[in-house]
Order: sequence, then C-alpha cells, then structure tokens
Amino acid sequence: MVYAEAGIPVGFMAMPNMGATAPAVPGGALVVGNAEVISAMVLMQLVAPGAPVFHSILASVMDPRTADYLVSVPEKFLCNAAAVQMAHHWGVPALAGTFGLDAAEPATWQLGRDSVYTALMCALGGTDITVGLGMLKASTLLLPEQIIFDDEIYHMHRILAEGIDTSADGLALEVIARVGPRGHFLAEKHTRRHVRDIWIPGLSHPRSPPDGQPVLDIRHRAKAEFDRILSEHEPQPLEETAQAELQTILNAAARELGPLRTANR
Amino acid sequence: MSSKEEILSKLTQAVIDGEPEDAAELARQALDMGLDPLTCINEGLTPGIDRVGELFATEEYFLPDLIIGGEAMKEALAILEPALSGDEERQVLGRVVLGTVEGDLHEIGKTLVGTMLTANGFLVTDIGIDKSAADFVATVKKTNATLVGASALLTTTMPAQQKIVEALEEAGLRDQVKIMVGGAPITQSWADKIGADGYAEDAIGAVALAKKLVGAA
Repeated sequence: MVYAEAGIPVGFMAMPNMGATAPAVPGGALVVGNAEVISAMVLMQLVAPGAPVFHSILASVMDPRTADYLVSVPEKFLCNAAAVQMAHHWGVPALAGTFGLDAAEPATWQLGRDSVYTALMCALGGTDITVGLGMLKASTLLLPEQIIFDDEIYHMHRILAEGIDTSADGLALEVIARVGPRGHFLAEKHTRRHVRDIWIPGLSHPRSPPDGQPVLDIRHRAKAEFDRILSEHEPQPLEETAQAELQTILNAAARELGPLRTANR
Repeated sequence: MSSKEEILSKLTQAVIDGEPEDAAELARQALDMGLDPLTCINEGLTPGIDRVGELFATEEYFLPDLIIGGEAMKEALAILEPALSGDEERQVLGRVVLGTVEGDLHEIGKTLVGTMLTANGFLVTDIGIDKSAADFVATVKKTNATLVGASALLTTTMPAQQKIVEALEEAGLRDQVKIMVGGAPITQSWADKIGADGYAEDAIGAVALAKKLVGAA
C-alpha cells in the first residue's frame, strides 16, 4: 500500500499449489490464483486510485506421494501460460513465472525442454515481464552458470516472440529479384547489412579456441562467461543528484529512527 | 441392530474409505450400543489407519487419501476419547506438541506432519501457526508431551526454533522431550547447531524420525 501510494508499480504473485493450496485441477488453480491477485489489485486501487499494478500467477503441483513442490509438470505450464492471457484480459501487465524449474543440475536437457513450456509459451502469450533466470530446484538455488544459460534461452524466446519481419526489406524482394534464380547472396549489400542481425547463440555454438585446444564443456564456458562479466562489468553509478537525494533520506532516517542496525542472526 | 463385529468392521472401513462423517456416526452408534470405547479405538480405528498406512507405503494411496483417513479417525476419536474411563488411555507412541514458530504463518507442511504422526499412532496437539516459544513450553507442560515438532519456512523465522530449544531448557523440560525441526530452509547442520534432536526433510521422514526418537523404530 505504501508503494501504491507512492506510485510505484505493485504486483502480487499468487502461487496456487495444486492439491494443497488450490484444487487439484489447473482450472481451479487459476480461479483461486486469479481471485487472490484481483482482490489484491482492487485493494491497491481503493488505497490509491490509479495505482499501477501488475498480475502474476505462478502455479505448482504438490506431489501427492511426498508433498514435494513441483514446477516442471504440464499442468503448471498450462496455468502459467493461461495466467498471462488472464492478466491481459484484466488490462494489466503480466509477470510470468518462467524459469526456476525442478532440475537440480544446470545445463540438463530437461531444463532446455521445460524452458520452452514455460518461458516460450509465456513469451508467445505476450508476457510483459519474465523472472527466475538462473534459478534451479524450484527456485531454491541460484547458480551463476544457469544465469548465462537462461539468458541465452531468454534471447532465443524473445526473438521467436518478435516474429518475422514482413516489410519489403524483410522479404528481401528487391535483392531476390536482382540475384535471380541461379545466383547467390554472399556479395549482396542486403546480406552484408543484415547478416549481423542473425543471432547465433554463443553457448550452443562456441568458437573453436585458438591453438587447436578442445572446446570446453558448456557448463565451464557458461561459468567462465559469468566470471568474465563479474570481473569486467562496470555498473553505471546513479546520477549525482540521485545519490545526494538518497543520502539526505538516509540522514533523515538516522535522525528519526536512530543509527542503522543490521539484522540480528 | 448391528452386532459388535459389524460396527467395528464398519469403523475400520470408514477410516480406510476416508469418510469422517460416517466414522463419527458409527462411533456414536457404538457408544449407544454400550460398546467399550477403547475396544472401538483399538479394534476398529487402529486397524483402519494401519491399513491406510500400508496402502500409502505401496503407493496405492496418496497423501490426500492419507489425510482424509486421518480426518475420519480424528472425528471418531473426538466421540470415543471423552467416553474413556479415567484409567483408560489410548496407546500412543508419543505425545507430540506441533506448531509453526513465531512470525511464521505457513502451515500446510506442519499439518501434514501432524496427520501422518496421528495416522502412525502418535497423539498430536497441533498448536497452530505463529506460536511463541512460551506457547510451545506451556503446551508441553499441559499435555505432558514427549515430542516437540517446530516448523519454520522462512530463513527469517528459523532462529525461533533455537528459542524453543532454549525455552524448554530454561523450563527444565529439555530432558522430557525430543525436539524435531523442519521446514524448507532447515538442514541437519542447523538442527545440530541449535541442539535439536533431529531433522527430517518431509512428512514421511518426520514419522520415521519420531518413531526413532521415541525408541519405537
């Protein structure tokens, strides 16, 4: 409510667990989840009319044998994808639960497979926000190399969701006509202009290292890329005025509430 | 008018079929017929819940079946236990005080553990969610408990489990009870660090652990 009053977008993520906190059917999970999110959104509107809100349902299944929390099952994939459509039906942005699947090891075929059912389906459904990159074991683990994998998967899905350019340039009619039936496109300006737009995923298509070294295992390369980013990336600092404003707020808080304490453990 | 054998076997079946209303009704009928409530428990309900446990172990029954069977047993016990005479007591493997710790509202896992412990012959007093260490201690005293189960689902509420161990020590009750801790962020090393007697990853493990702690495994 504080954020809503301040005009900061607020979203609630319902997490109906089929068989436990929701009925054991995907439709029922959507009913329960949607009711939770919509009632919360209404509350925000009552507190702060016009407050920006977003909608999110991240469903799951309770393993009926062990009570385990499962997210890589088809019933959950259906719910997450349908939730995006429901959000848009209500006219609000959707935050889709897209990564953070069940596997405990990164770079497995099941993660690749399951990311299609979650992330891709939600992307094609038009979700506005996607979350969970880098998370495994039902979002209880965050692995550095998985962030790199999921980043690659994300870009793949983004490009799929963007679709095919059918403009004149996108259909390449002019250059096709010029090249004719027996020619090739290697030397064409159109090719030169567009060939760099084709994104070749780096993890799945590694360059051979120089000196005939073998290509390292994909997991090593992902971790190496993570380490490289950490060591080389320079975050852009906040503008000076914003930094000064933050310090003013912190100083005022210290005067009102006493010195800042760190959490006790 | 049903015979004693008929009523007892219907009680057993009501538990196996997971019919709480039928089980309660049959319990009432049994008392009206003048049957001994302890017999109804030992020869009617217990064989039913044992069978439910078997079916669960062979994966013919799943958790919802187990929980509904436990509900049927609970409804019948609610009728039969008050009718027990003063010196009669249902044989239990242990008396458990179960709860979710202070500041934590998660309850499904805890409730599952309670149902499974009940189904396996423990007497469970579930004190609910967001309970202070003092609440745990008070209920241990009141029920003369031999086991404590504390559930925490958040890393921010985990420390409350340690408070429960300490409170029981301060109250001079530490030797009377075995303490089990559980919940998603909990680990064996955390349980060891705070001086708990055991940790289990899920409800099924909790039952095995509880049996081990009371020496019944």
